[in-house]
Amino acid sequence: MPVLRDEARDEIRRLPDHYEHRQSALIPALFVAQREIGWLPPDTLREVADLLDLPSSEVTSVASFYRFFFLEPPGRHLVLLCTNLACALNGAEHIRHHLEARLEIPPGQITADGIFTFRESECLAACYLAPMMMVDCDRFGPLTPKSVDEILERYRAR
Amino acid sequence: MAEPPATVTLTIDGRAVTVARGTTVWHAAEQAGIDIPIFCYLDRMPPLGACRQCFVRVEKMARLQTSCTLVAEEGMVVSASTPDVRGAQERNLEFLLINHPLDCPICDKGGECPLQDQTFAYGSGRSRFVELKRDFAKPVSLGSVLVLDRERCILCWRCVRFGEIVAGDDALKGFERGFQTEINTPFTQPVRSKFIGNTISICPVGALTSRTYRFQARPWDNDAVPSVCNHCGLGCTVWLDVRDQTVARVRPRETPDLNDIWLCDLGQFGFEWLHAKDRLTRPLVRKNGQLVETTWDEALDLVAARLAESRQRGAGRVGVLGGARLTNEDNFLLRRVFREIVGTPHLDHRLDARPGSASLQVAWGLRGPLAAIPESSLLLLVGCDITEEYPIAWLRMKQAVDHGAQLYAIHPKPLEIHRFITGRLIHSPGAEGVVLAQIANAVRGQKPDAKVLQEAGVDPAVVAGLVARLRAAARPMVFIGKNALEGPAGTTVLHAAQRLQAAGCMIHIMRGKGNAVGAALMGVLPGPGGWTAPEMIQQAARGALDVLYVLGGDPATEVGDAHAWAAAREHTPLVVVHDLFLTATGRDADVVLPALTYAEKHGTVCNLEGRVQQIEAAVRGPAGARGDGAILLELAARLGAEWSYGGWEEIFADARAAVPGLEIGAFRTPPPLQGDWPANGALPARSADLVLITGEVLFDRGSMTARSPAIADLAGPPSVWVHPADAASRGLVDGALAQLSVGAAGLVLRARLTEEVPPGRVYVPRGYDAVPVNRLLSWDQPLVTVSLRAIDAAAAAGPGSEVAP
Amino acid sequence: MIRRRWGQVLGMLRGLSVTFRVLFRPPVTTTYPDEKTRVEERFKGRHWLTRYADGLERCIGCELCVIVCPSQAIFVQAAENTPEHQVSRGERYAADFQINMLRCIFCGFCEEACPTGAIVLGHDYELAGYTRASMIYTKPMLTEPYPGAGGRDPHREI
Repeated sequence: MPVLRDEARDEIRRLPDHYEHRQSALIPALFVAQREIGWLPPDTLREVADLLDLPSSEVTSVASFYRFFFLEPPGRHLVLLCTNLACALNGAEHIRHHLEARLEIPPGQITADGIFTFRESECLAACYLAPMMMVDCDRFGPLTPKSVDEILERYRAR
Repeated sequence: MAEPPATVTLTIDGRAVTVARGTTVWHAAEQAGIDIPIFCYLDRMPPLGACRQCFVRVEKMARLQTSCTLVAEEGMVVSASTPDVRGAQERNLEFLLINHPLDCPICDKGGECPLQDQTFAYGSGRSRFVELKRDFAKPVSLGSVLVLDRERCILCWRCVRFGEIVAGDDALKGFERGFQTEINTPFTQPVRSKFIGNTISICPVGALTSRTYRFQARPWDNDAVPSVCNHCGLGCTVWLDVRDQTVARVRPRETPDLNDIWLCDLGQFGFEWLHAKDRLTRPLVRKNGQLVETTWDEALDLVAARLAESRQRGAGRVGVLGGARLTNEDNFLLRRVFREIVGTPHLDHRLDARPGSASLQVAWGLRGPLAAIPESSLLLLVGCDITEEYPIAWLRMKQAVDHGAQLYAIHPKPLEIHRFITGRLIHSPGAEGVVLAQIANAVRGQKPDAKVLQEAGVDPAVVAGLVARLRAAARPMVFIGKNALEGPAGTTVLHAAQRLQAAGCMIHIMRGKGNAVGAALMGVLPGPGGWTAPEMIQQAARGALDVLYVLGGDPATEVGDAHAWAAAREHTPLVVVHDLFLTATGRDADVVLPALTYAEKHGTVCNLEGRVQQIEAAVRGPAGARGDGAILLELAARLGAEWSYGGWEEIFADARAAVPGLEIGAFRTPPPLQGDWPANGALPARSADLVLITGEVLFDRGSMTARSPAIADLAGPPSVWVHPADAASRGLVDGALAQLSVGAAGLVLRARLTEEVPPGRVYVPRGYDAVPVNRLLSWDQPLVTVSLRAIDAAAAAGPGSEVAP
Repeated sequence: MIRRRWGQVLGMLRGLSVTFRVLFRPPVTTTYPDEKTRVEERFKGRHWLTRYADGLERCIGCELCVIVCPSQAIFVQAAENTPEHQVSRGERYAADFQINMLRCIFCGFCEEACPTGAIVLGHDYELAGYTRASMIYTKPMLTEPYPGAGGRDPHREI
């Protein structure tokens, strides 16, 4: 049973035309589906698979690989903390402990109030801000425990 | 520019090795007898370089190289056992083991585990890793046959790549990434595959193990007996691993040009019936309306007396049905006893054929070896659901598709392998003859009639594409399946196929289970003036037979018209059955003789290629049961024959004298199509009602599969497949009980809502003995329209019960 | 002549002195079967299948004892633990365990091979029977009735 709107289904059906291999259309198609629903429930993954004529196991596998696809409903805001080299050298570990304490969850989970999804991330291409994090589409850094608190407060209100 | 030489010479560990150009260093070493440890590479799939175990040092190359991905070049100097290479292999094993739980004592792979063996041979025996290992819930059951232990996995990707490259079902995948990577099914759902048993055999660790073999035995407990699977007609070679007179598991036995190293899940897990508790062990004879246990002497005396009586009343009053489950030797004796002693020409193994059907007019089998399929550039399936009927043949077709072959399917419903099909020709039921005739005409230059094709439900553009490719194809092959042969257009299909054959196509008749081809070779076919199986059944209903002798078959559920069989049974004074279990036929028979299975007999069998293979008895079988051949010899003696056979070899020797070219390992390939079949260009009348289509499925609940818990579980309850649109108009939801009726006959089945069946049709899998769909079918009416309605779950006794409308 | 006789008497007395000395010592023989022979700590006698303190069986049915046994005296059939029927720790346990005491040569390889210390060779050496069948010790006979009943420490040095 289709979950996606007809417009989204058509958009996904057209995507393979842009690529040499059908598989190449998978990530754009998953973004379309996630844009529609906010995350990727199993039924939607199957639907994307049917639309692209790919095995649904492959679609699920790819969706699970990338951190920007959500296989569970995410919180209202996505907090991504970079833990790669530049940030790590500038104290990302310390910021992670602070975030864990503030949000009361380990990375990879959603806060009890459902506002934040907190994840560790690979390099977000803002090493000059190290240690840095990205909330939704905005980048913040260099972070201190104090600035982290302020940022979280700001987003909590939104 | 000169052609580069076909071979290269390189040095491995100081030895000069000459190999074909393009060979990898690993294979070059293997050919030279130099062992390089490896996990991820399996020579049926391209190299990957994931496990990093096969490191070698190559002179003038900066770092150690993975020998499985490195192509050998002229003059390469490779060392595979220098201290730095050995050190790298040792450290790599240490890495592979950091997350491995080392729970070998409880692991089913223990004793036959490449990780164990290679750690023993190349590992250091120590680990410096003191941190916590990866922790997963274990064991995880992925359906009825597969058990997953993610902690043991070393992420070699063999199983994932098997699903992608060999089977094409993408059953297992990697999820997450980095150190969190795990092999699984999406959301840990039961695995959906017909080949998943192979991932167990190729897993180099104990991450994937079998549910049926779980903790049953250690490799050192088992005696491996070579045998041949008797489910579908392909006769895949297997090992029966026997522990204490019990078949503990079935494994593929490597035969490169047959099943290679693979086996389907029915072959691998469908063996538990061998040791079912309700195997027959004593002869049963009907006395005062009841089947009662008796002695062999009494039962055989009775049968012999009645056969002799019939012989005195005149020849040809005895009919013999069955033989596909028997060995060649049994079938040879069957023919001798009934043709020579009893003197009847009425023998036929094709007991599931319709009267006058195309199946009865053509020799069954492949016209060329299975291994030639990948060389074809065009494959056309006609009414042949290949993954359900002959799964191992699909693996060959997948190879062909990977080589660039085009695959077309003429079928009344979409096939499971639709992703690999170039053009679907989903026709209205009964129109396959017209569609194939149009294709045959077009190949010979006639313009196909687009209107007729559209009326038949297929896209003329797809037909045009197929015809163009057929003209240009190298070694095109046409696979004609049971559905097409038994359908109303069977002879039209053969007529068209013969013309395609003249145009260069190889025509394969994909028909017959077990040793059906061997039965035909041994002459279990109508003799001069003899009746075919359906004719026998029709004649028996008129009282023309004194004795019906049924071997290893269940006409009550297999004959395509349950009423015809019931009438035959009713009007035949004596029905004798050889079987393993008390089947529906056995319950109504007069004498039931307990027989032995293929795992309990020596002898030979033939597969669809006509390949003659030997089987060995692996277990003794239940005390009291006897082999079909032994029973027939006893009967022969009681009927006055003085035969003496010292063993199966002597029977085989006699059979060889009768059937030239019958040698173990030889092929008795059936001849090309040659016949004068009537063609019928008319399309069947359209129906506004639902049309019933039936088909074979790999996993069903027949007399053997129902007694194999794993297979019965994979099969699921008896079901009717309905298109969601048809279901919605009838208020049916997925999984609900539905009644399917034809006139006064009705069956209660689970509705399965799926787009795998087109609107206007319902599909019912055959092979469920408890709910035989043949009760709805009729020989007089090749296309059956049915009514379908939802029924109250409380009102019905459950799926399988018959409800009067 | 007399001296020679005297010499003989002396010799005899010297010999008898040993006799008389030993005569008044406590006897070294034991009155078996009224009295049992003392065996050494590492004596290898009848086998026991031991239990953990919580009563679960140590044996996991791995069959290493089967393959190591030089006289092929052991039969094991493993089975799977279920939450309702937890016999040993983990997934696997021995549903059946038999030792043919007529075949056993008491070499102790089985206890050396055992990864969990489940099988131990105890101090009982009184192994006789009237029938061959009675000499095949079954799992109920081999399993300790309660932890420690076998009298051997599974962790001791072998």
